[in-house]
Amino acid sequence: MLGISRKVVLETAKYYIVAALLLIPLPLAGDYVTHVAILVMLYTITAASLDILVGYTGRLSLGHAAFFAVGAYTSTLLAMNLGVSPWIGIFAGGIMASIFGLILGIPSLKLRGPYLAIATLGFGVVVWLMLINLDWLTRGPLGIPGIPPLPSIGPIDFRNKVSFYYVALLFTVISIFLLHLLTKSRAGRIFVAIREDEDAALSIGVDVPLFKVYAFLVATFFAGISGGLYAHYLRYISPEISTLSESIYMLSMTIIGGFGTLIGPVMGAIVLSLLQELLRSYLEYRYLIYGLLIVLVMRFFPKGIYGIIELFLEKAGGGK
Amino acid sequence: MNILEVKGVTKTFGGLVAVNNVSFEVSKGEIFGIIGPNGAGKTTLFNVISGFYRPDKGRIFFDGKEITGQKPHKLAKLGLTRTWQIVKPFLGMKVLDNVLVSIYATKGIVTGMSEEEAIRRAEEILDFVGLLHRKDLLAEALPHGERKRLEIARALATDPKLLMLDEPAGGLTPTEMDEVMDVARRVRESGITVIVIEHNMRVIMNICERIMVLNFGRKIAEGTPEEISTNEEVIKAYLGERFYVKGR
Repeated sequence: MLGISRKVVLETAKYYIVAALLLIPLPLAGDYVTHVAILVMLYTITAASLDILVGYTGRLSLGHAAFFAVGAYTSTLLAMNLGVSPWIGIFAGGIMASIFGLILGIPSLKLRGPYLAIATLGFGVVVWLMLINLDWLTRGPLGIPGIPPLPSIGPIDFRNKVSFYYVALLFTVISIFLLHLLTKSRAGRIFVAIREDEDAALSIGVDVPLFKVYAFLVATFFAGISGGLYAHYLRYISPEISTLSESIYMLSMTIIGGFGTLIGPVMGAIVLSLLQELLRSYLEYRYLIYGLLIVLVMRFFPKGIYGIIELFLEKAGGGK
Repeated sequence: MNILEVKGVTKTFGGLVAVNNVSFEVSKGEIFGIIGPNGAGKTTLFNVISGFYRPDKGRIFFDGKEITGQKPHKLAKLGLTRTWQIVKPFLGMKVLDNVLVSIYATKGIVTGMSEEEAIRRAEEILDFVGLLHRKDLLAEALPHGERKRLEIARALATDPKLLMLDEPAGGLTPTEMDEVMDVARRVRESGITVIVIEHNMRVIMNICERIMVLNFGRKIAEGTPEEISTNEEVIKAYLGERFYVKGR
């Protein structure tokens, strides 16, 4: 894929196969754990996809939840109005999210730093307002209940949490594996070059606008996929999933996990989701806690959780 | 034959005329120098030629084709590549990857060279500028002098016909300057035309065959280093009127 050697593909694949195998027995821990694990996995896809944009290409986005929502609504509406199978709808949701990604990505090509952040924030709000106000299509703030589940395959019924868990696991492992390959590919290194210095990248022949749009397409596609899975799992969606606070939640995962590392945001998604479960009784304070965590991480561990783990591994390795 | 022809280029910023009706030609295979006091418009001229600014007036021809107003990345693919006065290495990337990105960007990420070939080429270029032993370091670990050479390596990796160096010796120690001059000479020997902006007279007089002098955006002289160093206008521009002793 895009100039990446077979050796790298196989080496990377090994880790993902091991991770997937290790996660197979998890549903034995009960329904609640399975449920949390599914949501965590969907968030890991979103946080990792956001990292392509924020961490690798250096394009701050405060509107990622909007693309998650576009994916969720697209798949839902296709299934409920046109009877499209959710198996196809999920991918259609990813593509629709990418189209929205283009709508935001192309006009914001020249924006940098805080201006880009404001544009993406504004776009997220626009999507949220559309979901609320197009009530003939989206039922507005009421949301859409009774979304069809993933159609069963033979005797496997995906209304069952355990069955869905394996679907989510498969999607998560494949998505993050593909994103991982992207970061190791030629395109991935060009993304980093753009992040480090746009003008220098231009001067050595990088078609900077093209690659920025490419990063937007990829990041929004996977957010859309994850949104589609979410819709057919919870079987209820509302405009709440596209709010600014959701976008900030996703960005917190990416930053606290360690942006520009891909695996960091995955860890960020796990830690923050578990934190949210643990702090359920203090829910109104959660943004306060995330804010504090972001400040502390940026100040002391700019590479986030990933950086902390790396530091420990180095120390452990140095002791030998 | 001329590789670059600049015809009557003017670039203004508001009321300031940074480059004023400048014309010059660079022939294939030479090292051409551009000098001038601070604010003379040298870097602006570079930015215009390399496509970062669009000229208000004038036309630019590269290798026989008009390139006025072309985008920088397209020019790099055509074989016109520039470096930056204030170096812009990709700090968070390895030295080798810095150079590889140039190869990917100009040769294509899907087609283009195989990975082994690209790495071999990148290592060859790093060896050429004397940075091969640094290839696995992050660029941020390099001292200033080596960053300057990385800048040149990255530009060379685009496989240019014309390499434009913006103050390659700026901020370097005398030894490092010698190294950069040596690299510039060897680049020319490999068949690449070089244009150098430089502040340091020792460097420019040493390596250039022809020199153009800018002052307040205008071209005030052009010629060999000997001609330039005795040129009345040039001495006035650099040292002020009162240092010019007539009939010396």
